Amino acid sequence: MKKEYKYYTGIGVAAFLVAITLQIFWSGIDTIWVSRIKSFLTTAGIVFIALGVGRHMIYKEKPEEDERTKKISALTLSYSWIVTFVLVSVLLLLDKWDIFKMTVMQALGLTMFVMIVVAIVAELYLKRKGDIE
Amino acid sequence: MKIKIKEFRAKYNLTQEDLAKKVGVRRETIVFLEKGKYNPSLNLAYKVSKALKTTIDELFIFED
Repeated sequence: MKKEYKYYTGIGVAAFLVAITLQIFWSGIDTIWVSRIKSFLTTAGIVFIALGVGRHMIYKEKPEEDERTKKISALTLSYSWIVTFVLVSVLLLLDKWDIFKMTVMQALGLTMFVMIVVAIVAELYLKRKGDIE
Repeated sequence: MKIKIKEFRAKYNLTQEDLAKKVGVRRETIVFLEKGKYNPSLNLAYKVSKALKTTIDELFIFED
């Protein structure tokens, strides 16, 4: 297992252990904050273990990225950023002209969704091409 | 540009996976290199030629 994956798995296990310790020793004084901390640590533990073990299972000792994939990732982020910028500009104009109103949470949710979807689609498309100019 | 990675790979009985491992890139990069669809950096071209015990100009032949 690569060092990086070991660190991820270790952090995940440590978060889990802290959550279990809190559950055992702080069970009598279960305030809302203790409960929140336990939930956070459990989720973080699952995420880190999944990242460490999952990436090890997918890549094993192979490199995760090389010069070609780094170029693709950089262009993917640029596309994602540009599309998101255009989307936010359009949303601003629509709001200003009273055509379409959104709450802050809706606008942030939509922005994040578009940003992630564009990045995934662009990466899938660009990885099928050999090179990007 | 004519690329002779495949010929040299066959000469040394190396798979794309073996070459990728030697050079430190993903197998797909070697696939695109062999097909002539990816222009490598000078650094990668040097590493590939070194792994195949040849020179860059023997691996990548530019035709006018």
